[in-house]
Amino acid sequence: MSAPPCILLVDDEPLAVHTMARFLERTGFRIVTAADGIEALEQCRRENPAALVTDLRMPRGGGLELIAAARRDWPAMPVIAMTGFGTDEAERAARQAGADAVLRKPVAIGELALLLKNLTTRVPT
Amino acid sequence: VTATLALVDAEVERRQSAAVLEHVPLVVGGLLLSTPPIVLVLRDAVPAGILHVWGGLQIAIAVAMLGLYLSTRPRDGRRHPAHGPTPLFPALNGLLGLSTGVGFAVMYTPHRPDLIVFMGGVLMVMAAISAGIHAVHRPANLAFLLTALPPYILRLLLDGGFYQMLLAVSAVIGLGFFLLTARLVERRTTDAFRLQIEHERLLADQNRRADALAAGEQRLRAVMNAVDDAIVVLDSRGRVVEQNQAARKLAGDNLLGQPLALRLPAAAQPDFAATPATERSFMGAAGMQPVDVAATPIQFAGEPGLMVVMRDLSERKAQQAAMIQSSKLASLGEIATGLAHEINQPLNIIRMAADSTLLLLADGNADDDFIKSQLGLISGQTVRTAKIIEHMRVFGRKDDADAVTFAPMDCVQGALGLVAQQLRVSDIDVEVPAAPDCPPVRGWPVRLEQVLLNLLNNARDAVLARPLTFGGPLGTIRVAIRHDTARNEVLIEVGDTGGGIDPDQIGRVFDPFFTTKDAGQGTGLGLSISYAIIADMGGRLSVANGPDGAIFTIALPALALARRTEP
Repeated sequence: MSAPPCILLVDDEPLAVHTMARFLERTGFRIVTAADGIEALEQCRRENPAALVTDLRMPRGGGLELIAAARRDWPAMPVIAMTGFGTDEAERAARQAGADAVLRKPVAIGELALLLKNLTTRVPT
Repeated sequence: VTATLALVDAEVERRQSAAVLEHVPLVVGGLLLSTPPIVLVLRDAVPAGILHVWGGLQIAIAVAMLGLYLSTRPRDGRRHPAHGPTPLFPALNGLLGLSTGVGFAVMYTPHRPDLIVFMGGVLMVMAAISAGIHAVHRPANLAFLLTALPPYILRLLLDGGFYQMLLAVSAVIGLGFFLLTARLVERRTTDAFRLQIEHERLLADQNRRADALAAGEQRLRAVMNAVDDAIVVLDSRGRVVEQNQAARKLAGDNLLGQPLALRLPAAAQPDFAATPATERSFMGAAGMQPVDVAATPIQFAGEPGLMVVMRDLSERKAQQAAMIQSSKLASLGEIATGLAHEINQPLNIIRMAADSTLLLLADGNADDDFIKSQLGLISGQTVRTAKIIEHMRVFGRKDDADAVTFAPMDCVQGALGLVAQQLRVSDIDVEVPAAPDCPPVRGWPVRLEQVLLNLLNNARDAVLARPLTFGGPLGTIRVAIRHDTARNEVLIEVGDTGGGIDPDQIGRVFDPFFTTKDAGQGTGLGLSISYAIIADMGGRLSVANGPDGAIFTIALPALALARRTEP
């Protein structure tokens, strides 16, 4: 492990992104962020992140569209979705769009960090 | 008129002949009593055959008259006018006169002066009685007088003696006298009958008019009692002089004679009559209850009075309150999903911040500054959560509070705060131009917020229902507050770019249960409730189509700006 794996965090709540980034940076990740789907796809192109963590409900290309687009263009990139609706339908929709894991808000951040560690080390580079 | 006069004449004639018939028993009795004595007196001087034929004829005529009398008698005991007019009676009377006059002429006894005088006397007495009895009916009278006297007078003249001549002359004079008197009597009775008929006609007219009046009053009363509104009429001293059934029901008591002000305190105010329909309190059967009152000055029974119409509002109020409550619950249901999402945002941040601090502390990786900033973050997010919960509580509560004075912009901000997140993720821009110097309004801010929320949700749905366009936001919702100084009203406009409302349907959007949304999407109650809420606050809710979409306008009476004193 030379360079820390790059994680793209996408949420339209700046404080949520800030809190996640602050912790994940201290646990060995490099963090890039985006506030909506379109910005997230640009970051994917620019940074080629090791994993994508996205909220489902966002302006300008919602989470589901982002997941579908990322799955199409970067099929190997693990995708974790977070949903604030806490319903089975939202979870099913996220999995159908191609999410590898779905976390319900409020998210246990230790779990997220563990998940990211597993997903980023399992994939051979 | 001629026809009426002819009718009256016919009626007079009918009554005269009926009146004459009434005396038939007298005539019959006189005949039956007088005939045997006359036969007895004449039996020595006149041949028995002639005398018996004559007596039989007289009795037969008397019996015929009695038969006529009985056959025309009213059977139900009434006098007039069941007695029909009968030309038969004058005929019988004439026959009687002829029988008597010619009979006496035939039975004339030239050698018995006493019997001549006796028969003359009998004839004169009969003529006098006839004139007295039959004077009311000229034909009957004339029929007897003109048949009874002339044959005997003629016989006297044929006899030619001095005293016979004298007797004949006095009989002629008597006849003339009887005719004259009968004429006078007849004229008088005719007049009496005319008066009687006129009197009866007036009486009938009066009865008919009274009946019509009573029927009219009954109809009016039926209408008044069928009205659901309570109607009372006050005299100049404010006492109830007329009431309908609804008024009795509302009061639970008879109001007649009572001063209305005892029940309706507003009625004691000097400007009561001049005030247009307003909501007042009425002390009714169920205690103080709200009523809509309209007073109109009227002329009642020739005196100036006041008609007061009261509509019981308690049921409508209860219904309205229930509808407002149910619509609150409906809108709460609509935004429940949004609120759950909204609350999950701060909760998410709180949990992540707390967890990450715990994990880093365990690794010895957290310094004081980090912990402090994490705790500050958590605290801030709990405040945000509390605000959301505050709004939820406000929506579930039944709002019976008194009206307060408030700035309408606060409500706009409050409503927007609830839906801002939803609008943002739906790519809908919200424009809220600043509204400096906007005067406060009076009412219930929570309800106004509910109306605004409803309008915002409708606007969002309208924008979302439009086909997608690429680039830029989906649409815009504009909430503008301004002060219409001409009407001194605060106008809150909620406009969207949803394309507007079908002109055929725009007149119905405030109707309860009218909705343009898909089945299951809208209750159709939101706008009607909103309308009622704004009306409750003395304002108006209206809608028009602007260039890009519908514009809903809330107009509320503006209060004077509170003068602020610098500290």
